[in-house]
Amino acid sequence: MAEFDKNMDFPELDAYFSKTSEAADDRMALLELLKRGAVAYRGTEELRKKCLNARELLPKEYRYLEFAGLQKLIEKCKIFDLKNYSRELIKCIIIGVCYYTLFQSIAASAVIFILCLIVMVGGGYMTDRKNAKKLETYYNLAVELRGVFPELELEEDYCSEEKLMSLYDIVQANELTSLESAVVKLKAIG
Amino acid sequence: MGKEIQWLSFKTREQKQADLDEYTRWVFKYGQPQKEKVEQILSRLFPKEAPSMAMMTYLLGRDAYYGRYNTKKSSDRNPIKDMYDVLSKKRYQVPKKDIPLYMALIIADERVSEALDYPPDDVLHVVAARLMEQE
Repeated sequence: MAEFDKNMDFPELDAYFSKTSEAADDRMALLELLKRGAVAYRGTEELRKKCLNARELLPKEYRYLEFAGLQKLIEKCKIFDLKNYSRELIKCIIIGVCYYTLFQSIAASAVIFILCLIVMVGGGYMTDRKNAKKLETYYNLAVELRGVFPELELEEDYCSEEKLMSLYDIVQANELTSLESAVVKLKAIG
Repeated sequence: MGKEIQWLSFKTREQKQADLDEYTRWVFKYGQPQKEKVEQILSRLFPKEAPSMAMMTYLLGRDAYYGRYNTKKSSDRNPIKDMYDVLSKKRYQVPKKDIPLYMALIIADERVSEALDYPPDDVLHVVAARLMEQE
C-alpha cells in the first residue's frame, strides 16, 4: 500500500512557480509603466519630431552616442584643448619639416607651419564649436522629451504614444519582462 | 458526490450539456487554451498513449485529487493518496510507471496561473520521481 505524506513538499515546483510569479509581476509592472508612458507622451509628437530633426543635423559620428555622455561631449567641444588636435598638430609639423627639407629656410617653414596650424587646428576648433551648438540644441530637446516620462529612460525614437503601445503589445504577446528585449524585438520587426 | 443509479435518474439533454459545461469550466478554468495546453503536455509525456485515454486518466486523477469520489471529511483527506488509489485501480489499467507522472501534472496544474505557466517536462519528471520514492 502506497503511503504518501499528506503535506508532501515539492521544492522543484515551488522554485519553478516562484520564478514564474516573479516574472509575471515584473511583466505587469512593465506593462503598467508602458501604459502610463503612452498616456504621458500623448500630444508630444511635435517635440519628438523637433528632437529627431536636431539629431539628424548632427555629424554622423555624434548621432547615436549614449545620452549620458552627451553633456561631457558638449563641454569637450566648447573648450579649446590642444591635446584634442594632436593629429592636426602632427600634420602641421610634417608639412613644416617637408618645407624646410625642400627650401632650407627656417623662417619660411615656420610661417608655413603657423599658417597650417591656424587653418587646421583653428578650423577644427571652429567646427567643434559649431557641433557643440548643434549638440546642445539636440541635448536640450532630448532632455525635455525624456523628461515627459523619465521613468522609462527611452531613446527619443520610442518616446511616442504609438511606439510605446507597440512595445506594450510586444511585451504582452511575447511575455517579456525587460524593456530592452521589447525594444530589440520592435527593431527586428522594423 | 454520492453514488447514484444512472438509469433511474432523468436528465434532459440540456441538463446533461449544462453539467458537462460546468465540469469543463471546473477542470479548465482558463478555458480552451488551457485544455489545449494540457493536451499538448499529455501527448509529450505519454506519446504512446491515445490522446483521449491520456486525457481520461488525467481527469480521473484530477477528480480524485479534488475529492470528487470521496465521502471523507475534507480535513481527513490525503489528496495525493486518493489520487494514487484511484489511478492504481486495476480496472483503469494505467501503466504503473505513468501514474506518478499523471500525479505530478495534476499537482502542478493546481498552481498554474492564467498565463498557463505549466512547468517544463523535466520538472514534472523530477516531481514524479519524488512521488515514486513515496510509493
